[in-house]
Amino acid sequence: MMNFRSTAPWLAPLLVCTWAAPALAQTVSGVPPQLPYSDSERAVQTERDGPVLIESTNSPGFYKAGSDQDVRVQTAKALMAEKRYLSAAIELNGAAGRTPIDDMPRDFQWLMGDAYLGFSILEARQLYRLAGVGRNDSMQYVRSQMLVADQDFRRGRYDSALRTLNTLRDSLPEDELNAWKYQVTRVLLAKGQYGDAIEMLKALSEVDDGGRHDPFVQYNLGLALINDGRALEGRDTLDRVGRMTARTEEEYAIRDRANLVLGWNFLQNEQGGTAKATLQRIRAEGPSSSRALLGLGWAELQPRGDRQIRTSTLDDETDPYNTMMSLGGVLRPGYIEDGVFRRSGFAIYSRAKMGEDEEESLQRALAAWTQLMGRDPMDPAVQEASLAIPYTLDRIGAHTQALEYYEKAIDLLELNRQRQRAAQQSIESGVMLNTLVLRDANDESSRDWELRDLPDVPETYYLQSLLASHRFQEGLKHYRDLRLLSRTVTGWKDRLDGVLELYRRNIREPVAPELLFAAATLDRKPPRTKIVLRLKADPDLAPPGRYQRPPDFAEGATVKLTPAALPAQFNGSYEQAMRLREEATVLERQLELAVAEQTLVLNDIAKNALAEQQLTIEKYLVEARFALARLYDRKRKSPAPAAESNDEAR
Amino acid sequence: MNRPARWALLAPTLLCWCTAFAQHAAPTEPELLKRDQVAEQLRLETLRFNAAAQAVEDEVRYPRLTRTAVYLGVELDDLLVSEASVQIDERPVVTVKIEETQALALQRSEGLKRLLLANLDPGPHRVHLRMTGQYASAKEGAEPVVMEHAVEFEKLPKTTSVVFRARWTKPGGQAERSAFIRTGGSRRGLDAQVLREQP
Repeated sequence: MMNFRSTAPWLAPLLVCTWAAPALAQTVSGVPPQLPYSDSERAVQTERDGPVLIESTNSPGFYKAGSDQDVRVQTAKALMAEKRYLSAAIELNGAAGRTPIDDMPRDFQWLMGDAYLGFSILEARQLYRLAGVGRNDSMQYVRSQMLVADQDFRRGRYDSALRTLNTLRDSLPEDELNAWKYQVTRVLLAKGQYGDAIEMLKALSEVDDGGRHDPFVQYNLGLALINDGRALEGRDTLDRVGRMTARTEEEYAIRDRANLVLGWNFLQNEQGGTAKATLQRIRAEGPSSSRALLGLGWAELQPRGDRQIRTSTLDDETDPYNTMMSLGGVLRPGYIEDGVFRRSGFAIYSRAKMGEDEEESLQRALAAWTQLMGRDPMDPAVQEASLAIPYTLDRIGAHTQALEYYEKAIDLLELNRQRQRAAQQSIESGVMLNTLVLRDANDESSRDWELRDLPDVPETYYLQSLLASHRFQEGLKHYRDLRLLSRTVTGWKDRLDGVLELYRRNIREPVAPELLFAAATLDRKPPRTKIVLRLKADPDLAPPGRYQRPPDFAEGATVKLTPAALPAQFNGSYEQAMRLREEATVLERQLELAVAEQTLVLNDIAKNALAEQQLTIEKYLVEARFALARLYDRKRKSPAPAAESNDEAR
Repeated sequence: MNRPARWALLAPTLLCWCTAFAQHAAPTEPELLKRDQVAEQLRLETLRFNAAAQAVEDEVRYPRLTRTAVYLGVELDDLLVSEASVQIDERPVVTVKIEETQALALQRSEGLKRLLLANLDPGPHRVHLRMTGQYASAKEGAEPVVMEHAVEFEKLPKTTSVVFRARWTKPGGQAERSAFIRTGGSRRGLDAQVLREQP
């Protein structure tokens, strides 16, 4: 392995350098021990259109390892801005070298904490603590701890998140108070501690933002109040959000959401009239519109119920709902009778035995549900409406059309059943997880990564709400990171093989001793400048410990040298590469297992969620088939279609 | 390894995990914490392995005696770099494409992008950088911004970094002291620094 056959004992320290990079550095003959830089500085313009400056440096600049000027630290900063936390962490590790992190500058520790946060909260927490010693009231420390708490919250570690947030309470700067409160309430709500959350949310909701309250805080407050048993107050708060004038898409979405929650809450309490008015405020096109239309139909069939009692006066009512953009506008009186039924292919029925009010209610319910029929059949609201329509038609007396619509509903539900089976297979075979993370497979953003949109496959539609949950998203992030790490380790196996091969082939010339000496003495202040040491090549020397003859010292030599102890175990680049190659095999296996575990965990969650929906579809199918059988049976027992046909011909 | 043999090998570990799966439906917080700690330890180990392997590879392929890195930084607040070409002495030009996300990150962080690593023998060398980009405020179809700069330096037998930065420069190529206060005749251009780690 080694190309240097021997050397004088006093050169033993240099041997380390030689062994560390055996025969790989390029030989440069005639390089003097000290390499002075040119003193000249000139700027030359070339004849090109943009003048090219040729600059000559007279001396290099220096940077302290780990300082802001360190090129690796600056590289890490750019990588972090690009959200490539893994590469940034590797770069920072390189910058630290063998120096313990405790001895690195504080800013370096902060930066390293940020880079590690996505990969190990525990390590990041430790780094932040280290950087924040004696500065736990600084903005940087507070923000770092809030980041840690946020990560804990997302992973479902609520107690840990709350502990971290509570330690900040006394040292919190004024600017961060509201952000802190918001984070605490999120954790409290997740833990089900509604009472405590309400107090904090009320304090937060008093924060004035140009005369209006934060609708997200109000929405959370409304939900917390309802969950805490203070339904009246909660409904009032949600009602306020549901009536606000939205300015952004997010505000429109939260307004619709508030109205949806409130409307269904009224439905559960059999207050159909109030539910209807609330649900009508929701936009005709939006994420809440299908559930709203379904609810509107049911609201028509419910008793009107008591009018909602408000605990406060609403002075901000501007009634922005009576437009064609809201469901109230689409389903406005006068429009239903002439438009919706004809467009849906329904006739208007009249049944003598039915009271006028009931008939009108059924027709209005039908109007709401028919709006759903053109929508995605995988939407649970559409599936429920597909059953509700024939039920209503049957009640009105349009038995033939009810039959027809029950058959359509069965087709639709069967289609869903098939798709759900395909979805289950996709989950079990691991295709779903692979598809979800495929696009950003090499993305190193870790903690900042999120599922931007869903691939166009059935399982992602059925599992939309699950996929949006923190629990699943964090699991997915974990799965992604592990796969990424596994790939990097696999890649390193080849790269390390390349390194070892480079050593074995040994294609480079040995480094000239003069160069090694120059490198070793470059930054060293010579202790005794008058002593001149000269090197000479001596082919008769043997490796240390195998000398055949005593050293040939000139008589009268005054300098006495003792041989340095040989290292017990050499740890050069070759040895390190060998060790790392073995480590890579073990690590690769561990990561494979971890990926397999995470796949099973996520698939388990997904399959459970899908099973619930499969159960619903099965239940609907049984209901539809039973109703169909009942209708056929009735038709067989009383064959009098002529009267009905006359009825329908109106 | 064939599939059954592989699974036989993994069976004891999977058995432990299966117990964890049974509890997965509603994991308690200590369970979550324990599971996360194990996973985090593995991530941490992998991260450290990556760093160690990178250091060894650099050490072998680019020994410190000859290692030279060329970096690019952007300190102009509206310049987005799209390409950088580096030529060292008479060696072939190396062109690095810079994606928009990278250009934005470079500009926002005022950090550095390593364009290449090379082995240079100690002695005099010349590094030439040609950078192409566009100002964010430029009109559609505007000519791209091209900046060029070359630096001559004496390579010492230590790791050396050549850092090019796009910034406001005084006539003669020196950087302005502040990005906000500019002396007369200053222009947007590249300047270069040759740096090494403080011993």
